[in-house]
Amino acid sequence: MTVELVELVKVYGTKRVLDGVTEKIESGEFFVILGPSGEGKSTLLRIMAGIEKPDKGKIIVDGDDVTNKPPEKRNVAMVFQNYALYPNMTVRENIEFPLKMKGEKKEQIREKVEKVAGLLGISEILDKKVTKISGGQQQRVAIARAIVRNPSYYLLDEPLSNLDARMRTVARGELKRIQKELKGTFIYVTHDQKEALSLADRVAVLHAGKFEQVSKPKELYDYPRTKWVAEFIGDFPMNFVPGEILGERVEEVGFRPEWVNVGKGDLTCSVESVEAVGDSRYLICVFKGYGITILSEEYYDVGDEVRFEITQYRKFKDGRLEE
Amino acid sequence: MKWSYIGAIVVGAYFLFPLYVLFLLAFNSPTFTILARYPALLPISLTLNNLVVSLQGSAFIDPLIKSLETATLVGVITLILAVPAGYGLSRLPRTVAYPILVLLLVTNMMPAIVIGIPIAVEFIKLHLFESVVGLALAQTLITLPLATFILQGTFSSIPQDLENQARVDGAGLLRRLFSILLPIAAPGIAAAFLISWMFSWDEFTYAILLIPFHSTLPVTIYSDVTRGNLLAGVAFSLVFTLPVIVLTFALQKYLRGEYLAGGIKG
Amino acid sequence: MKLTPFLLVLPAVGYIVAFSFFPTVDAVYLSFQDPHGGLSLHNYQELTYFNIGGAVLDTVLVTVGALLIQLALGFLVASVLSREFFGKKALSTITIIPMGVATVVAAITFSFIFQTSGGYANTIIHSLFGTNVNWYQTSLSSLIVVMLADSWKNTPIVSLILLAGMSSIPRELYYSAAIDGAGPFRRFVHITLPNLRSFIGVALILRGVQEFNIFALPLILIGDHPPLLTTLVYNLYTTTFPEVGLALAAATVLLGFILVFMGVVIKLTGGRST
Repeated sequence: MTVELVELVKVYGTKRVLDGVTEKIESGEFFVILGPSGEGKSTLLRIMAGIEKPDKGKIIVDGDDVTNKPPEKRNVAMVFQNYALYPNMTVRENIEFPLKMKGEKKEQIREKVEKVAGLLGISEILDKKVTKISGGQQQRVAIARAIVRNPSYYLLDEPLSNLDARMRTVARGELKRIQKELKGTFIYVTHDQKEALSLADRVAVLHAGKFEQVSKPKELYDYPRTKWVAEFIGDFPMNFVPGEILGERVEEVGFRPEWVNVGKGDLTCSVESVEAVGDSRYLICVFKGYGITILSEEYYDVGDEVRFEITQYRKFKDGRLEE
Repeated sequence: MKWSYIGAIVVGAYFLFPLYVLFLLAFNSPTFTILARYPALLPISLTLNNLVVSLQGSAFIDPLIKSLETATLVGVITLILAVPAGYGLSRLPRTVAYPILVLLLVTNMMPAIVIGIPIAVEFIKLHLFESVVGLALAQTLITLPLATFILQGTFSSIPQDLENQARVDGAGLLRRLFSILLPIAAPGIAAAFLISWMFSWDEFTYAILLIPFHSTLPVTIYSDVTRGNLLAGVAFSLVFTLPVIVLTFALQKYLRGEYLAGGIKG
Repeated sequence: MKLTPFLLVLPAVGYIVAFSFFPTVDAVYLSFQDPHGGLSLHNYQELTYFNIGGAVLDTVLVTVGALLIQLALGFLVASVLSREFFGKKALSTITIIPMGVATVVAAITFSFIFQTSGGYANTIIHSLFGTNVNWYQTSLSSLIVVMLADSWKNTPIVSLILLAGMSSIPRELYYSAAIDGAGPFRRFVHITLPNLRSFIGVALILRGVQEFNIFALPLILIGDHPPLLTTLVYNLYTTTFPEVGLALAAATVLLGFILVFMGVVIKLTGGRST
């Protein structure tokens, strides 16, 4: 189902955490809200769940205004960061809980729970206490409890952040598969851009209380709409130098570390430090007085002069992308 | 290391000696205890006779039942008030919850002997004087703040998100309470009940002011001793003390200094 | 939605206000009422015939004395228990038993230990020195018996609070002080005490107020020889009932001292830490 956010505002004390968030999330979309910590991502998600009320603005689900509905009446599913499993219940009782609240029949509940457990590979542990299972299993149980019913939309608040790096990659793939299978509207909050770029159909970057950019992952990376996004997205921030250095009549040009050919061309910079990532290395250099980072296959040492050319770049004016 | 042991022995002796005396009084034959000018320091002639004689008959049973009734009633009234209060406080912002907790703590310090007299005067008018219900209502003043502290702590340790999750899963307030919050808080609730029970069981001031005549065990023990009925007093004391010592150990976790300290520091 | 927690807290607060504040205010008000229904200091003038000054003095004496004993013992217990040694668990168990012994029972037990003639304490003294001590010979000695009994019963709470405080002080502070050349005494004065400030404050408030209210112990151990404020209130109450004005005047004096004491302790210990 579609979820429309209309001019949402939320103020805590003097801080406008959300300052007019507007977007339409399409049915069946995997929509990721990305932003640094403390930018109100979780607040936004909680407003969508109904746990918190916006100070202004509306939430419209499939044409219905649900802004003033409490969470128990919204038919949404949510996975919290710490999973929020009911510690007094078994795995099965946890997954059954939302179905029981809807008053479904016993056999029907049983059937649905078994099916979901199979889908997530937790059939073996159904009768264990949730406090007695591993972190990865807890995360699956939390997801099982969310997908066992048929909610209008799914809200996920950094559900993978408590897993270790390797498990996270596996869980990411699984989550994406499940979402495609259910054809559900997933709204997913994270501060991890890798997660955002690999999961999302569309990514919304939340900054200063607004969606600074909403676009497909590839576009977000290649055509960041603002300098802030350009610096926020990517393992290393986009490099910025004044346009005139490259002979452009524009305030600033930006290029990503991998948009260069090292060893060719007529630009030179001197290496300040080297960061090795896998096979390749990022050279942090000084280029005409500006600090930049460039990707190199070759090995360079601190103090070396490096020749390079820029293969593509974007033009920026007043911190915004020039089309 | 040596100092630890010397300290340990001094401390241990100071705390154990009175208990040992109580034991001698209860089980040594009276000739070597209350009848002797210099009572024996060793268990020379152990007997159960003291206990058997004293604990027979209604002199003991009536106050025992009164004590049991009062303590249980206090536990129940306390929980009825403290469970919602503890939950409410745990869900209020600190700036609001803290003054309320301080208010409760300050009232806990109001002297029973000051409050007890006007209450006694009122209770005579309301026919609650000399009644278990009246005493329980007054003793709840002592237990309610403490139980509220314990339960506020218990409910605060249940993450707000667990409750949010239950709401998202479609549970209203009552369902959340009975399916999620109360089962998880059960150990804290049990502790609050037992501590209330224990405080009431021990309570003396309200008891002597509000039920002076046919009272609970502590007041009965007091009147036995002042009337020279020493053996009965001692025997009752022993029976009276045992459940409380057991409870003290069972509730050790909740009687910690951090808890008492945490209450004031906020 | 934020209203619900308020509504849930309301009954408990209402209960306390109704049963605690209202009677307290009532008590103070009634204490100023003379037999003809007018407001006057009549009851307070009357109190002077009952040596109210002596009762106040003795109450303060017991409070201060018992607090000092409990703090000293509490520190001893806490510092012993803050070390590791064989039998620590057993000792910490022993030190909380008195918490489980009812005040009445503690009072009776101590009345058998300390008697005017004979008793368990005298058994020991008699076998060592061949004499007998009358523990209740003077007012002061009687009050000391009360303090000892009270400290036995209540030191556990003090030591629990102090122990909690001590375990919150990082070990490294002691190590670095020791390296800087501070001996055990200096470490206690310069590290333990300042860091325990708020914990000592908590112990003083909790115990101090209860010391002023100490009732069952003196009632059983010394009756009203000499009277403390609480036992004076009780005696006036039982002898003049149903007239309660006189008893309430004494109770109001007690209340005043408690409020002043709380104020002083909060000022001394809590003022800066909060």
